[in-house]
Amino acid sequence: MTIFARDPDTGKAGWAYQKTPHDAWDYDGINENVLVDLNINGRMRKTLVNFDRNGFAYVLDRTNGELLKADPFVFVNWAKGVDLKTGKPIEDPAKRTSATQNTKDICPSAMGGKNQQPVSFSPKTGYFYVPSNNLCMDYEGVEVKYQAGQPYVGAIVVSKAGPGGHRGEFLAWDPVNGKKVWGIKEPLSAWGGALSTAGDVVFYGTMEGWLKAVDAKTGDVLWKFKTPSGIIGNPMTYAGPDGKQYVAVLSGIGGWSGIGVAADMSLEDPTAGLGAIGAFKDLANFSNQGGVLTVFSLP
Amino acid sequence: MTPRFPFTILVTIACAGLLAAQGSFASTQAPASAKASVGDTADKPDTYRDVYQGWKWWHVYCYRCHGVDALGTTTAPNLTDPMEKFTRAEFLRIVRTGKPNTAMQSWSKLLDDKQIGQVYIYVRARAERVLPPGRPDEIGPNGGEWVPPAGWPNR
Repeated sequence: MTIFARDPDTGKAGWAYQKTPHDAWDYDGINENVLVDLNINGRMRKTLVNFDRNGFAYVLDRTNGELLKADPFVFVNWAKGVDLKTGKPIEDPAKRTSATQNTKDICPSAMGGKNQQPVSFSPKTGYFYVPSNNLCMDYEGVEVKYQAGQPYVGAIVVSKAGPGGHRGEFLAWDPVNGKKVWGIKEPLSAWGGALSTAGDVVFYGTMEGWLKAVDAKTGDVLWKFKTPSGIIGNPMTYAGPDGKQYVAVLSGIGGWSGIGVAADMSLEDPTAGLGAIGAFKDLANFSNQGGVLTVFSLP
Repeated sequence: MTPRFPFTILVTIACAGLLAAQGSFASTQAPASAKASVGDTADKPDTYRDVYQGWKWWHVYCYRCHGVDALGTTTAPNLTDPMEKFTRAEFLRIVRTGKPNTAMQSWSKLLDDKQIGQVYIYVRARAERVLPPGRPDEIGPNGGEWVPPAGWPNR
């Protein structure tokens, strides 16, 4: 759960920042770090921005590790905020998990306010485009022992939709003010990556298989296309040898959220797939298995 | 600790804290009243606690083959089936040592006798139809703790 800055020549750590100390929620802090220069409190800073699974969007000075901002980008209740001086989350003790009880309605779930689907930054708008999850969980720690070849999951976890009932939102985030600019609520999680372009059009995919093009400034949906399976991949754009610009995306449901369909799992146990079946039991109503590259050309 | 589905679901999760000392399956031969006099909770037999613990062990280990709520899967039998009844001694022996020529392995490295005893009492509660499916802490009156029927399991 630590962001490390290391000297690439020597490996020596320059600084480190721990986002979720003594993580009791399985918020694996491995989401991408995006390096952008931002005007924070009137001063240009070389920053590192990280949208963590724990639900906070962190802005750090990448030259020295100073924590500049930490704001919730999804509904968060395990902590009330982050103390910018100490860098520590202000935890709600009622939401800390243990092996002595089932802690209910922790938000976000272990699947994260955002999982590994990457954000995109537009230098034109100054916004980050964030595929996010609106998921909460019940979590009961269980002390288990390890034996090779046997299950080794020390928790009984059930994920579920967060407040509002939608399971995801694709949102534009203003990193300077630490605020959402607009959001598009998705029935399922926004589990595919984001692509922002110089034409002020942003692309993202949904678990139902929609590839959407939206206005970078307003979030208005300009165009959408249903691909054969859920999208957990990343839209991409490139210039072809014919001089045309193309947009391509891989569809094929999978990932933690899509494990039920991808692995053809039975659905009676909400804790299966480490809680994924609890939140995405109905996924087969929206997406088949798949594996298709869909390519579009611009006129 | 990052699940890499769909290749494996064998992930580890950091657990905060250790299990507190739990119920007393090992002491079930002693009458519950022998522990009385400390207070209300000490007067209660530990059947609920044992069933709850058994449910917990079941749903981190056994359920992957024997199914959620002990209802079985295509891999391993439904242990709520009346045909699958075991004595406590048989159950302990099979779980400790495994069953030859089947997928049932020995669980002695993962579960001690007290834990296996708790799994047994959980399975028995399911097989004897006294425990509904679901979490024992949520299937009782008003969505609370399950209350074992009076006299069950005839300790």
